[in-house]
Amino acid sequence: MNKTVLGGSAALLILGIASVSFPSPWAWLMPVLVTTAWLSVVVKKKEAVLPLPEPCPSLVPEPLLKEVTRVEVREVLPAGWSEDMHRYRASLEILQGLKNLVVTDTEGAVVRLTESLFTLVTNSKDVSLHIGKSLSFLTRQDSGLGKTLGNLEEQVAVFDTLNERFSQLKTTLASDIQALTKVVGSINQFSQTLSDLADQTNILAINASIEAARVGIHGRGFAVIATQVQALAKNSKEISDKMASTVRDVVGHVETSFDRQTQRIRESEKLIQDSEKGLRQWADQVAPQLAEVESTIDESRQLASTVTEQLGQVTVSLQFQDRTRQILDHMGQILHDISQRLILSSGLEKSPIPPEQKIQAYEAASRWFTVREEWGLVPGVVPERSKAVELF
Amino acid sequence: MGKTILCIDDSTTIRLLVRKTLEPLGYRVLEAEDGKVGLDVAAREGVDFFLVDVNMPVMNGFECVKGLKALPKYVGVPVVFLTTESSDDKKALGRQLGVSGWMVKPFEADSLAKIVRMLAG
Repeated sequence: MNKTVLGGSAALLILGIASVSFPSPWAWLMPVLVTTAWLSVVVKKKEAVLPLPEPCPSLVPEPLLKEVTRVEVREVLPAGWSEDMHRYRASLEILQGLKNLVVTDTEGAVVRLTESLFTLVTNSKDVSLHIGKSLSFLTRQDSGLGKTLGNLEEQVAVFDTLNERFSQLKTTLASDIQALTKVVGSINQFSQTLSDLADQTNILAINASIEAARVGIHGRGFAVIATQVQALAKNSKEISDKMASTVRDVVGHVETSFDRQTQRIRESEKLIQDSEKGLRQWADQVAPQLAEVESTIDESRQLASTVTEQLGQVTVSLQFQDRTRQILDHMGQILHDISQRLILSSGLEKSPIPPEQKIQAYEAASRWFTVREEWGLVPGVVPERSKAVELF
Repeated sequence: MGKTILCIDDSTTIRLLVRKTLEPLGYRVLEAEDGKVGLDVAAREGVDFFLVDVNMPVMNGFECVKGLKALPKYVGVPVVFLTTESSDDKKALGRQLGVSGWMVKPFEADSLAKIVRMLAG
């Protein structure tokens, strides 16, 4: 037996007892008031708008009957309100779904971005280190190309010294030849003198022979001496001529040799000068290139440092997603609280949302949908995965 | 093996940033998505430093820290709140609970590294 019937029966019983016990107008009012109060409590607690139990018209006076009717009207939702309320509840579910979608999607994107950024920074640092390592041997002053360049410059300086010494050698050689020529001249002079002397001695010897012959027997010994002197003069002249000839030969050889040496020295000087010139040119080209390499290494290091600094700023920016998520949650919570009060006051909080209201809510919301995942919230809808690129 | 840090935060992004900041410095970083999971991890592992968010589902940061401070093996182990909250009353509550510091999000990687180095070694 339900509460309505029980309540109505209890009211009638009280009415009956009152009419017997208290024969006054208040006796009629009391049970009606009790019944009305009870009914208002029941209506508020009911899951759906239940029709009030029909009061018995014969027992309730007309004015009181109207009072009950007014109470009933106040407790009944206006026409269409329940449908709107159900649609509102369905829309709230959609909003919650969208909020969760936003939070999940952005969190996923930020996580992937974070991973990529940190990988990028690590790679950038590695590249910078690798560049520095690979090129540092070129610029090291104690063992790299820098040292080689230094050695090269030292060698160029040695070439300068060599050039100087060759030049001195050439000068010395020239002065030696001059001295030799002078000596040979002297020898030739001596040789000529010797030859003249021999000629004169020969003439003397001839004169002596002539005088010896004029003297006769007493001049024979003198004639012999004259003959020998003549022979001696002849020998001296021959020796003198040979000496002159030999000296001429030797001088000729020495002059030829000196000329050859001088030519060789000249050629060597040219070679050294050409090499020195080439080395200087090479050194002049390498030095700025080395400086360029050093500058590149420095720039690379600075770039890696800048990337690390930028990462610090990016780290801060990435955390705004978390703040946004919290704010979204708070918005959702506020909306939920307000909505709950509204729904509770309607008495529909435990009623299942009728399918037609759900459909209407999704239809209204989906007018705004543009993202594939939004369509995923609609029950029964499997959004198609579209191609990333489509050509028409 | 370096010191162990436990990051208790319901945001995946924050936990990832903490990990990316501290792991290259030689720390071992553990994660928990709420206070209750954080207490479970703390009970199971040996942690040298706690980074705790305040607003989390299931169990918030204050409740979690109360639980941590009640564990004998974590007496004296530093706890720092890492949170978007910055009100004085919340900070006062943190001080009462015995935390070692209060970091407001968004944090800078350098600042986090400095604090961890200072408090955890």
